[in-house]
Amino acid sequence: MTLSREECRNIFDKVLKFSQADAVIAYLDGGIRAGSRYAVNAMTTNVVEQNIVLSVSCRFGDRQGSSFTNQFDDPSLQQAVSQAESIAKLSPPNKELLPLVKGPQSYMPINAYFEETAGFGPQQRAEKIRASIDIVKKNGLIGSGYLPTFDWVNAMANSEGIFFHHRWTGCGFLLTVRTPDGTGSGWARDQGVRRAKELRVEQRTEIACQKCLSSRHPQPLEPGDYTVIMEPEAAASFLMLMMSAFDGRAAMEGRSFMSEGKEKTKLGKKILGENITIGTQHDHPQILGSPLGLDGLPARNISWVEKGVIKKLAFNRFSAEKYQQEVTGRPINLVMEGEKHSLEDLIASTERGILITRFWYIRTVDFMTILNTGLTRDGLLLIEKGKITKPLVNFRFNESPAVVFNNITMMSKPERAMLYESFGDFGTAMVPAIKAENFTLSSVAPAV
Amino acid sequence: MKRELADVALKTAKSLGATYADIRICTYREQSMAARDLMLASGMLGGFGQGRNIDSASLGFGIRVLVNGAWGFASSPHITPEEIKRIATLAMEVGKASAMAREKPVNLVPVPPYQDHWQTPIQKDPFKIPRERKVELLLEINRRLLKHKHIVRATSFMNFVHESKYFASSEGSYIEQDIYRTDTDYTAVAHRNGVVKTRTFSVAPLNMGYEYIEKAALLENIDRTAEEAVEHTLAPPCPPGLKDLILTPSHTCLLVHESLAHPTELDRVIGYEANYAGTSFVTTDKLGKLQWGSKLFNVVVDNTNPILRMSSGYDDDGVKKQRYYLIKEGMFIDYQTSRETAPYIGAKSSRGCVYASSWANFPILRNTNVGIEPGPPGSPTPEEIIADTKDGILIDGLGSFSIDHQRYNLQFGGDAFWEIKNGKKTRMLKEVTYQAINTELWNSLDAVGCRDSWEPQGIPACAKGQPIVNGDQSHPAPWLRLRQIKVGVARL
Repeated sequence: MTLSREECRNIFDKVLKFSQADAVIAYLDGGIRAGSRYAVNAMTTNVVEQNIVLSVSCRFGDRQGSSFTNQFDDPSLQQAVSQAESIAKLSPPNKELLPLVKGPQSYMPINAYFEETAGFGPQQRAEKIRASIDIVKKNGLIGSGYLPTFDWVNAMANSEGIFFHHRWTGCGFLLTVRTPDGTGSGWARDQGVRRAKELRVEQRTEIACQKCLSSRHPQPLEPGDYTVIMEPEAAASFLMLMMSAFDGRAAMEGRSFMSEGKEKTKLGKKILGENITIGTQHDHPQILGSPLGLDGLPARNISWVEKGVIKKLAFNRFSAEKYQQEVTGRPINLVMEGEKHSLEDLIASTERGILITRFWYIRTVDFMTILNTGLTRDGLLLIEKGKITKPLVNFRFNESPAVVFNNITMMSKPERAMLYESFGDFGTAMVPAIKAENFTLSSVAPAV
Repeated sequence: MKRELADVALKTAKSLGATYADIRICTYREQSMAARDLMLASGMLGGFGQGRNIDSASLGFGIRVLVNGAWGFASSPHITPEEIKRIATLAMEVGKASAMAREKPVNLVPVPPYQDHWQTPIQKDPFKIPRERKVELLLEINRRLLKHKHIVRATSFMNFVHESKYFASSEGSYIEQDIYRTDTDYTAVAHRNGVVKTRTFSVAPLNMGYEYIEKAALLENIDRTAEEAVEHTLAPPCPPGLKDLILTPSHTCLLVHESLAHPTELDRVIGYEANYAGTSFVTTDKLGKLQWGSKLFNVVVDNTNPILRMSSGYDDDGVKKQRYYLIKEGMFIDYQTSRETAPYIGAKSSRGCVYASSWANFPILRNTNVGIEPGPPGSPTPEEIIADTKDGILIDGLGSFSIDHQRYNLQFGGDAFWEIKNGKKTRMLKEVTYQAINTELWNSLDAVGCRDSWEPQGIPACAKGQPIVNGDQSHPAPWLRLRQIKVGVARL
């Protein structure tokens, strides 16, 4: 199920008609999520999930309440509106509510919907999964993978004339391949793909298999500070951690790494390496961006860091007004500049270092320094004299992205990667592989 | 009515060749209120840390079929006979496609058919309590926290869920269940001399009615919570080294979740989760052989105590919920299983651990109410454990946590920490983290608190599966002491 522009407009029109509130905002979010999952070389889960959720927020003066429903008949819509209204009436004033954005607004064009992806059905997914299993089996390995597709709608309207409708498709594939004796594990993914025909299932399966084979029988190394090369997926984790410190309000309130005393921040200061430039580009062709920002405003491309200098912190409408800053939206759909090298160049340039495929279970230890902990997983390899020499037992790290982003000595060209552990198709970014010095690996983690 | 609708699904699937079919027809109602600094608002509209103030309703059904030895699943929010027939047909199409990528058929252990209705035994339906009473309580908590000097932010929340689920299977079960969940807590943020620290009053999330909120001593703990947040900003950092750790139940619940509940999920052990949550170091050859904790250590799954989060009458395989031991006197003896995974250890029946957090999701094996039993009569009180500790750290509440994908190497923080010297709580510490290998940690257990120290704490959300299925587990525990654990490794 999905909702056309007209169907969304009809639902919104009814919501606005049913409400007696001073102001109304409504969102529709949902569609069809299909996913085929295999494990131990056999399909274990195969689903087609359909749901669209309407959220209605009603305001009386500066009091607001909200309700959610997934039923769009008139009585259900009336019920949702009346619930949001009664919640609003029982709520205390919210001094942070700003007047609704007035319509019409103009949104950047993003070519986001492809019929071939929407129509990529269970048979086609199963054929791809079968192809992946066959490659894994040919290598004598055990594979587990997941292939999700999305046919999704995001729509919004308010009582000030805003109407927005965005239908998009996306798909992805990721897999983990293990040796039957449990001594090796490899991983690869290709996510945030708009068009199903561009999905690289077989190629990613080959990469995961090779990674798995090269990681067999890992040897332990003493914990310590090492030169590391993070592949783009691993580097994306540190990019995400770095950008988690960009909340402008927290910085102004002294609750963040970006704080420098009351209402003083690191904005405008050079705190990262000269080679660090990071921006948001919602309409980048390889990123699943949306024309609507998460703050309800049209998405804007933003430059956050230029040559190590913090150019913008993230402010919403309220905090921007309070601290007289630009409304930026959140730091998503990120593009981190790289260099002209390849991953192989980074490896070849390294006298002694460690190649990291990806990280796992990253959690913040201290917000003020952005100290984080997490683990390496699915392919950790020692580099000696410019060559990969042996697999290593995994490590736990304790490190801050603010340290890493000052210690990068070399980068590859950016590639599409995901910012999160999640396998959904949200959070894509363009990230280079990075070579960083003095990365703290604090204990051995014997998991394979 | 629901039975007739369910029969449409079962009949359609069987007529198209299903060897097994089930349907869950569900309604979820949720009321969620979160206050921040005397405001309630909707976090989804305008974002950036505003509170929630939402009622939601979600209706729909999901149909699961086995055809040609493989699973198919489809779901829809439109609960009509026509749509049920369409979705059952779609689920069959999906299942037939699955069979292309599966040689060995799914094998389910048997389950008796049940026709039953089960309900969480609540005293006060939280949805019938006036909203203004709840809002006023949340705002009063904010007000009282913010009166304290150096408290710069106060948050408080309440969440109520009513999960109404009708399960029917082609094996003759028709089971209706009404599950209620209640959750609340609050947090103070202190800012002093450029140092920011938080302190949370942890109320165990439980399956109870509004009577639980009324008994939760929320207002009584405000001053202590605020004072501890401020004191935390002045605390010295934890020096690195080996310390005895005394853990309260509000901390232990997450340690249990990550280090005991996840690795004993049999689907992980088999490899079903290798591509996301990971596998497990507790492979089947360790069953009945692994010494996983000292002789004082008894780990029990209790999905029958109705106040615990994953308790109900039946799981989403239609299997009756159970109480059983995973670890007895330190010996690892059982797994959490489903009808599909039980055959892998030769079990003749399932332990009933299958759950889907939404009608829209395919049900999977989730870890359930895994907890640590209190010690036998005569076991120490919290005061006695502290008095018996020469050089240790008392850890309360939840903080940073991380564990590897096979559940060996863990690093945990907490919400608040106190130095214990010569049997006395001396001062708060900050920046406490501990690192350990799973079995070494539990084998160092040398004190298990008495029954009075046992609390049914739990965690509010846990993600597993692709697509994700959320879980919401209780992990009760008494006070514990672990000897000579490495602390203070996490630092820049």
